[in-house]
Amino acid sequence: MRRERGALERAVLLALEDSSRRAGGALTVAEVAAALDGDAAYTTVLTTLTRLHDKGALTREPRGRGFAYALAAAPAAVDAARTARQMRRLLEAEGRREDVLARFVAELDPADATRLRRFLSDGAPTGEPAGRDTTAGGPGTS
Amino acid sequence: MRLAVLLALPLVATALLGATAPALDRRLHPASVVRLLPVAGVVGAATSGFSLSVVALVLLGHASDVAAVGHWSVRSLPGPVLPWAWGVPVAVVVTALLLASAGHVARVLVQLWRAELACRDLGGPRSGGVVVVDAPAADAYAIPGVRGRVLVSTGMLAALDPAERRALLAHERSHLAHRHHLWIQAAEVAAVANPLLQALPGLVRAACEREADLDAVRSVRSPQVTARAIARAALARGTRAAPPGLAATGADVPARIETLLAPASRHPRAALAALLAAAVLATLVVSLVSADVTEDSFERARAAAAGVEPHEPPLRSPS
Repeated sequence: MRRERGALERAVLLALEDSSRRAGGALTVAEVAAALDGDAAYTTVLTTLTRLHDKGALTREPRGRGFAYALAAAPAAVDAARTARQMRRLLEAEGRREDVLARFVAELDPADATRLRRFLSDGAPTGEPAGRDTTAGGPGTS
Repeated sequence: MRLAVLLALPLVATALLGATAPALDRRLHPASVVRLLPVAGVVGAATSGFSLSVVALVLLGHASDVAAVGHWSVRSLPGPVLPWAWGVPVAVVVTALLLASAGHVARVLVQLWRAELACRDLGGPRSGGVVVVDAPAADAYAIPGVRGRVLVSTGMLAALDPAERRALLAHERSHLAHRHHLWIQAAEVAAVANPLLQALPGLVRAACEREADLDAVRSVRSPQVTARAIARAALARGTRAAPPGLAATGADVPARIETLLAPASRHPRAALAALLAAAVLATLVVSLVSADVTEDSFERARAAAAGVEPHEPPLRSPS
């Protein structure tokens, strides 16, 4: 009951994976809930299945008065898709706010960008180690 | 009087720290700045905050109503340098700073916890693992945690050649290995707790970048490659809008490159680091002594009130 959303999603995915391995095919909400040993309420399982379906992780077909759910792809692919989504979220959303993250480079102002381009074109293009001191006496000390 | 001096010393020391921090930063090795400034800041903020609360306590202790509640003799308290009403604004300032610090600490803990959860979500056994995100935007950062992770986008990898990628990853792993996030957050807390220390977080952040850059140089054995990696990464990322709140804190990229290519411009002084550490320790000791003296004087004032209480001191008419 108290478990986090991610854990329940994983448990549901595992149950469906199990079923597909045993050639059981798609499972209804009640069947998934039963497979979870009553760890989660029917409505919670329904919500989780709907969410996973919305994310594209599951396919469903009408059965009885509701739907039967099955994995949309091989379990490994589902996991990869889920992880990729999480990471994109990390990159795009959390990465902007979180003060605890250590970014490699911060934003540049246009003047600095010009200095960096000059540094790179002076020191880098031939691929040889830049022996010369390319920045000293450059655009001046700001 | 003796108490007044003891109480003033941490305040003076903290003000000095705030004023000299940029000069210290120029003369210390990045590794020393990363560790010493936050420690000095936290000690300075804590001891000066303690001094201010004792000042508030002693001043307010001279109010007859407060003295009645505390059962002490007003005349036996350390001398009234100021009318007791001055204790009110001091107490308000101390309380505000304390609340602000507590709020900040809570926010940081939430952020660190979220980062920890993110790391757990990403799975994998060891710290410093690299997670490549398939995204065109060039970005790279370390997520701190017990099992910290380095996140890098395919857009960022595409902007760099293999040696430069190694430099980038070594730089981010250095942040995790040195737990830079904790030092930075300690400096942030000190700055919130005492506004005199406002310069500290920026200096510590920049020093963290320099230390990680030095580790990257050690890893790829080339300051030039590391400098190029920073320049290319900054250009690849640079066109995007600044995330709110982070813009002012990022280390100055051209300055980092100059430091890498002309490291001789900085002369770390080990003696200065030792001196700073000694000053921090001395401040701590002075503050502990002042706590002791304060406790003693209030105990004496209580004893005076309990023992010889034939006549209450005439009520001074305050305010």
